Amino acid sequence: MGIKAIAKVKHDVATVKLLVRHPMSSGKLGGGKGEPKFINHLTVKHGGRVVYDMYPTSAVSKNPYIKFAFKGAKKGDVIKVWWQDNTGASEKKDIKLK
Amino acid sequence: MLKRLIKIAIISMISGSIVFAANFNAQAEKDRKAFVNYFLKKFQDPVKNHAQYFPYVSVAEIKKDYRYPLSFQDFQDGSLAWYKPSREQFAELNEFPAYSLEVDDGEALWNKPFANGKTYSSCFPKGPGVRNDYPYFDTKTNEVVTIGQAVNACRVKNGEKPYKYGKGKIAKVIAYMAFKSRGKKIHVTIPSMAAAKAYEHGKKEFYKQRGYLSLSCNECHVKSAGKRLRAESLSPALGQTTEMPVYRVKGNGTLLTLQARLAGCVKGTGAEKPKLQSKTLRDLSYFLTYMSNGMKLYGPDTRK
Repeated sequence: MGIKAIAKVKHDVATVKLLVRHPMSSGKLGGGKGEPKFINHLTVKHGGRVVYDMYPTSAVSKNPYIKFAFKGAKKGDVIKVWWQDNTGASEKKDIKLK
Repeated sequence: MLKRLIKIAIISMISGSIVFAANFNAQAEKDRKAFVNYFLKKFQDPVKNHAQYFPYVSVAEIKKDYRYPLSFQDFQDGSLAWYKPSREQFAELNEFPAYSLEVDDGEALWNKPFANGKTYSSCFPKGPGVRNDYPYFDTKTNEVVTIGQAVNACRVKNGEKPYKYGKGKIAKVIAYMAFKSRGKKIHVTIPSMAAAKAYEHGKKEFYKQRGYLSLSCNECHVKSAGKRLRAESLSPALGQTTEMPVYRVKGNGTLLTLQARLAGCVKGTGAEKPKLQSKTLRDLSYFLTYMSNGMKLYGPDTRK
């Protein structure tokens, strides 16, 4: 569905901002006839180590914005973002740290 | 001798009418200067003139929460210009703005060719960065033309179905155009008598009281700009069109055009919702945009 990212490294610390395109709907709004579709697991890995792990529910609004920081990063490193939702769809993307 | 007299008479008539032609916006300029001066004066020193303009806020709260004095360009931020707590929250929100997804969609829609092979560039030869050229008064049809109408006119001319106004795909295309027009100045002109009439109609609509609360645009966005309405801080009418189309955080985030926002606000004050792209709303947007002449655009932007 699309993941936009801004990832910068300053000294040893990487600050990552992600905008994940996803409806995150509970299926109950507007008459409530749709099926729920929301991300229920999102992980970011750096060099094999998990640096961000998230288990959201339908309470998170659409197109979630995620911001976090971690130590031990260098410019040019690649982090891998992966999410899956309750219907089984998933997406992954590699992001280069600037 | 008679011929000479007739020549002089004709020349003076022509020069007289040229002088008159430039004056279709004489009244509008007077209105605009008064409008701008009112707001600049109001937000110059809220502590000093607190009794006159901000009677329901304590001086301590003004010193803590209000940002002043405001320059002319500051009014592009609406209520975020003067209310510090909102401004800080929105600065955080805009670190990675949610409307960036809408602008990307708009770019894809702009670049996708129609069924006949042409793109929007054939109707907008200067490119998408022309948001500041709208709304304008078309002297051939004697109507105010908004950017939404221009986009749909382009679609119909090339054999496509027009978009529905207000939100959705048309808002995304306009968002892309607005994004490309950031920093350009508003420059609405009044080129004819009919345009001056449309301006006057828009002005009347702005000051007209409507609905069961008898509220007018003027009541909340001029007289009460800087005050609070329940949990909202009212935005000043100066610079209100610079952030269009606006990404509203309420209701799970929707991108709305100026037409939808004007109609929605009228409905929200308890009056009958005007039709999008009706003469009422188009003339009102003509008046409102004229008042912000000279201000740089910054669209789209996030608002509550």
